[in-house]
Amino acid sequence: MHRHRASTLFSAVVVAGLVTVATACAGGSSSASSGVLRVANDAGTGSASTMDPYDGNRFWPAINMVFDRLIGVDKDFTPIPELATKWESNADLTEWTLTLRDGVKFHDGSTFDSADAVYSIDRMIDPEFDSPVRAVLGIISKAEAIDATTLKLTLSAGEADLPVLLADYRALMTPEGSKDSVGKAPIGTGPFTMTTFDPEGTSKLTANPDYFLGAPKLASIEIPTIADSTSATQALAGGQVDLLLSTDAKSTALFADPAQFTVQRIPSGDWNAIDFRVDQKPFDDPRVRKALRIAVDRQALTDIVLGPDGGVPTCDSPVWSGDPYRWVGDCKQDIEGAKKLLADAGFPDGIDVEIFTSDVEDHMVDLVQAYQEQVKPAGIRVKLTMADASGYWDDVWMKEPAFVDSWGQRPAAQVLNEVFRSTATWNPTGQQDIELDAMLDEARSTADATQRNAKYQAIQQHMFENTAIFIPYHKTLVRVMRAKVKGIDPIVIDAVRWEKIEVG
Amino acid sequence: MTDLARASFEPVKFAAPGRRRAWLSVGAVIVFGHVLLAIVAPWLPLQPVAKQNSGAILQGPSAAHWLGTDNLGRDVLARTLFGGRPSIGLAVASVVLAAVLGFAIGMVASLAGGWVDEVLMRVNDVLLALPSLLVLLLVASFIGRDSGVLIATLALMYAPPIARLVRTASLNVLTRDFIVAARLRGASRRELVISEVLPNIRGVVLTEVAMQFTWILLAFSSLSFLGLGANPPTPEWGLMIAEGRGYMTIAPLPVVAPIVMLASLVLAVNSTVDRSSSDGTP
Repeated sequence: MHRHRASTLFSAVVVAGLVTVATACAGGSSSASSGVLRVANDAGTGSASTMDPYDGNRFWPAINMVFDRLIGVDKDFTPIPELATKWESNADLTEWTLTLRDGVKFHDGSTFDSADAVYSIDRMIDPEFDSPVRAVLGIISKAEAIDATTLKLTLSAGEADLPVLLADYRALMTPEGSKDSVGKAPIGTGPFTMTTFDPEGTSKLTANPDYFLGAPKLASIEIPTIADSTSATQALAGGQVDLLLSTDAKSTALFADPAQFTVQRIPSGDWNAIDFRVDQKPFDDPRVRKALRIAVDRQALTDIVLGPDGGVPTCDSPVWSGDPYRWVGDCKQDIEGAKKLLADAGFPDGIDVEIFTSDVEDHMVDLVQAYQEQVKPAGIRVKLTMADASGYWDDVWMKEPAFVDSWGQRPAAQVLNEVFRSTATWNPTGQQDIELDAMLDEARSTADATQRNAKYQAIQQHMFENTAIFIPYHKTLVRVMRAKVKGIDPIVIDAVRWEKIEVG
Repeated sequence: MTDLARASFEPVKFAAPGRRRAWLSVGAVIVFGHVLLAIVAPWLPLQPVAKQNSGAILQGPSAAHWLGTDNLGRDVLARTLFGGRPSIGLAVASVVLAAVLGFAIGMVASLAGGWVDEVLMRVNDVLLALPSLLVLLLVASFIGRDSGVLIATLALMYAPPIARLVRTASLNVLTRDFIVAARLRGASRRELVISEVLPNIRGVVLTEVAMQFTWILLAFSSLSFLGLGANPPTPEWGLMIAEGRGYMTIAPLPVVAPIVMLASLVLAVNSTVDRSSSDGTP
């Protein structure tokens, strides 16, 4: 009997203890969720990650929390002041003068001025450092500090859209002389300061109360790394994280309850493509190239690869739906047209095509599987060849006759010059279109916005007739968060104002 | 010596009642069902395995799709039933080649003895020590993933255990009185192997071959799961699991169905082998 009582008493103590611990945990969770935003990060570049925003291995979830650009973008991607308050150019668009915001402090208390801006831009365009940002801003030949708040940029050619290019999410301002320390101990002007940088564990940031656009509403942000996308999805469903910056459109059924989750679908400029090398037969024949592109039902292919509402079809233009220069063509599936083009090119019985792909990124294998089915009726017989993910970008991309490609969002001026210009380092098909080059030169140096727009439209129309790159869609990013997270507009991550986010 | 070995090293006997029991076991029925389905799948009234439907992605079971659809809107039932064809076909081809190789090496080693036996068995030991999945990954990455290459590699990696068993079993048999008698009456080596040794080691060798079949089946599915086996859009169980795992919480059937098929085949083969071994029959 005594033993029974003792046992009951012990059980009661244990239960009471557990209740206390549970209450404490719940309290802790509640207090954490009131001011802490937990953002899931994929493994990305792992231990090679750095907070240096100009490095190819930049820790992308956090750089825009810590640093600011000279020019930002609004919800509709219009350039808006950030660290520069105004900008103007000379008549031929080769010299730009920017007025910098006065009195802005870095996290260490030092003042941001034009010397820091010159230092930052010099690093971005340094050919030895070869930053990925150089592909965007390489047109800048010289950055000069006129006075503490005036910056002059000289370009190698006229560029009407320099403000848009300066709004690239990596064109961030770092303190003068910080190149050796910025990677691990970043000092920026942004709304949050980095207190723990652990790209393979959990990175932590705390609010910068002196932020020049107002103190952040959140006390802190935590960025746990969850390598596997399925695990990240489960972490959000289970409440271990509050925000998934991007997830598969096909997975959103898990987050259907609006009382618990907010799902944002954000049209983006990310695209996949199938590239055909023009220096390889049969892709040297423009009729074959066009047949391979018009035999596809792009809407159906987009829905199959990305899921319903997962993307926006495009007629082989890399210029996305949010870009003012976007061309909307008519590229309905034309099986008979494709058959005729193939017959004219000497393939009356259809054609065999081998396309290399890899699971190095989402959707790259599914794209070829969907393409394979779509083009069958036109007599295009596709052999899908899987390549090893680890060597795909070095051994397959730009080397095999036909392969799958993947690009992130870029403004029209940048993407057209970076991918389609004859002399571009990353021209993946080797196509030398001199006429297109001349059209690009003319468009970028046209000062009048309406005329410039018309020229960019003509460029995309010209590309649809000639290109060797089949671009079926731009992806719609799917961002999911717990319903308690407020203040994130349905816009691309470049434009999110982190200081305005709050957790209820 | 185990019951299995003792039973198998006796001179060949007529079938005992246990043989019938073994081949009529549940496991055998499942194995037979798998093989039958793999053969007749193209003639069954199924949806085309590669047919995609943008309006039916990751759907649950319905009258049109009994096991639902996968992430490209393809019919899971059709892909699951067709999924056994590449796996079983490749595993059978590999294990037959492995059995021929293993038997030849084991017999030569046991009959020749001396340095020939020593060299063959040391090479065999080296192959046995290599992690087979790692070798397969390397071969698939650097040489290619054509069926011929994969069958040859799988056969090479899974022949050594058979060779070692054949050598051990035949050495055991070669010392028996009936072998001495056969030698005295002037039987040639060929006659000795075919008429005396083979019938007496058949049971253990077939058991080992069946076991190796399941290992090869799992190895090929693992390779496909890792993206280096079957090429999309081929319906293959390992590949189907890999393709469906990202959506498992929304649509589990594209993953569960091939897992059930793979697991049931492996378990059924193992159970049939166990049953026939314990019955003392091959």
